[in-house]
Amino acid sequence: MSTAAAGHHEHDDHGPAKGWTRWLYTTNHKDIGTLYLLFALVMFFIGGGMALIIRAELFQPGLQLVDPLFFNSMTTMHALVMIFGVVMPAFVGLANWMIPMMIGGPDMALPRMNNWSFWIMPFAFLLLLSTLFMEGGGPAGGWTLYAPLSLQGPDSFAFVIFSIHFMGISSVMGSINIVATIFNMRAPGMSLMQMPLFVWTWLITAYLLIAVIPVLAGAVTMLLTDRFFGTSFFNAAGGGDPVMYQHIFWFFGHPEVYILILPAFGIISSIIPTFARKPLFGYASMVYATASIAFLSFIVWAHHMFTVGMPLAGEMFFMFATMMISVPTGVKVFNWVATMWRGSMTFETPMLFAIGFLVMFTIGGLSGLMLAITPADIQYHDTYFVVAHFHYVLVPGAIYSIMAATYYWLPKWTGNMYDEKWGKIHFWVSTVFLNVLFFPMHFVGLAGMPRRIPDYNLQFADWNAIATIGAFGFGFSQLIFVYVIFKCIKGGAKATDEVWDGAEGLEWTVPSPAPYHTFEKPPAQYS
Amino acid sequence: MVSKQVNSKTGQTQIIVRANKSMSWRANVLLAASLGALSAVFGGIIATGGFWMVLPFAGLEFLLVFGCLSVAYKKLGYMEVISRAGDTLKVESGYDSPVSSSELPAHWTKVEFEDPPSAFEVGRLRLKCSGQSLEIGQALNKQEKRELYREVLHCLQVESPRLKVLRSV
Repeated sequence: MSTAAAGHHEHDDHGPAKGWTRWLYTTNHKDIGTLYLLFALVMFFIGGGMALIIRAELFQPGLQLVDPLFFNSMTTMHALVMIFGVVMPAFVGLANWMIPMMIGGPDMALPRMNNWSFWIMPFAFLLLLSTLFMEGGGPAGGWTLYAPLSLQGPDSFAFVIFSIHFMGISSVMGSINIVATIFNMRAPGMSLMQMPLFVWTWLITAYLLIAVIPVLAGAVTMLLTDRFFGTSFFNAAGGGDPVMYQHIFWFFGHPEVYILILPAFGIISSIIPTFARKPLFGYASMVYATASIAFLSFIVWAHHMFTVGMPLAGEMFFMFATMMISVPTGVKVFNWVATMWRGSMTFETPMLFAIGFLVMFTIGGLSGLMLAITPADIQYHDTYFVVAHFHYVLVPGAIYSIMAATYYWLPKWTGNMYDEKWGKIHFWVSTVFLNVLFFPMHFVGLAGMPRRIPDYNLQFADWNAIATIGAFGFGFSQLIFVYVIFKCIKGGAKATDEVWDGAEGLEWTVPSPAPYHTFEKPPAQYS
Repeated sequence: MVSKQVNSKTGQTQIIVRANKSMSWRANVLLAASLGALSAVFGGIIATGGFWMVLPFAGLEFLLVFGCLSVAYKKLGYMEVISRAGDTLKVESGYDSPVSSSELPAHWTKVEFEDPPSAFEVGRLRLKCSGQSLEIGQALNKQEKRELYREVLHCLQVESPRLKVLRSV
């Protein structure tokens, strides 16, 4: 071979690197997707373990197992781990696996940055979790890190801030990669309105992330300087404004709530048409509804803080703006139901999880509407009713959608069918225990039980005991999930190309992802 | 994307291999600007209350967004041109002009495509000659790699004029 200029494209024959270096240096979107998903699974059990500590303490009134500071550390860490360590990485993992496939691209636009954005995560969480072993313990002021409470914590607070920065950097890099990939690497002929809804929902999620992460970064940095460098952004003693921290935090925090649920909408929009054997009802309205939810998420933040005091006009604005979110969300729920209407439905595990999502997410949405009503919210604020609401949104919402997606795409990823019997057992056991766990929280919340307190009045004892039984049942039932996944990875009945009877989309109907070859412009003459 | 065209100067048929580029540079700039503007508005409003520390992060993020979109767009401009002149198969690659060029004896070159069974693997397409290999079509997905494989195979199977002369003797 005569080579005029030694090309960097010359290779010896080699496959992926062997052993652990494959995973450390990989720039392959599938490998990185797998890493994200495994990381999320590990963190799910760590965060779940913290939830069980909380529920064990609350099994009966009085202080039994842990001291109150550690209890508060557990509530804080549980939230941070579940939000930033489980739901977000799992969705990013699914995006890594599926988006290049769905748009007909060979990989993500920036593969090296993709590697970095994953490998930052384990270090960020090591840093965060290590604070539990430092002098004074970990953060205990809630995941919102409200000032001035968080400023009164131990010095380990600095590590918490740095870990949040790392998580933010990872999220921003991942989001930029997704935006660059979707806009620049779609197969020829694939217009934006032809993209699968999972791609659309992720595109809007990435926009939200890019828009709000600097706000979080700025807010926590101001906390850091208030705590260690003598500034007074949020320190009332120095002329600062602690309420402004809440405004800034929730300006990030409310879009964050939608960051945690929009990709779930995309997943459910993929699964329901497959098992209803009908095209998705109202594709365009789904896209516009997603965009509307994203827009509204920027103008409703103060519904998290009705009790701090604000002008009546402000309360009215945020109340009605919050209620408006139910319109596009209702469009989505209507479209999913309409997709199922008169469909040839079958109820394999992904569909069971999707229907579970639909029913229970709607329950969470309805309690959200109750919380949007300002005078009612003043009663519900900081009670277990709020805890019940957001857990109904996040567990049967975000977590169920991730499980549905895993069961749905696992045969494609591994080439093997998962064990359907155990998948269904996993669904039913989880669903029963999930409702035993979270539904009683509505009752104790409406009766006035405050959140984030390790002890409670005797009148709440029965429902708390039941909720704790539900928590342990739900926690241990997730071992079935792990069993099904690893059994499927190891072997099983071979999956067909299409896997599911009614599956549509590039990843199912063709052996490779890009059948589009309609070019608008002929390529320019090159040499 | 894989396409064929005739070079107006040499009259040779060339196989052009380019990555899919679904958005123009101008649209990329507008995208970065819209994201930057959104962050600047949010950061600016918060900064008016004295909470200015959001602004540096918004600025850094804008630079990152712009830099990443630039790199992604540049990478997608990568092009390979495969042409055959007589007994020689020529592979040129680069962005605006060829920065790498390889010439292979066409009769001793074979094209191989590892077509993995998984729909999620794009596989590798290689030209092999005298124990060395040259990967081509790295920017393509599996469907396009299959198409390129067929085109290159066809190109290699075309009989050279010299061989025709030898056969006639």
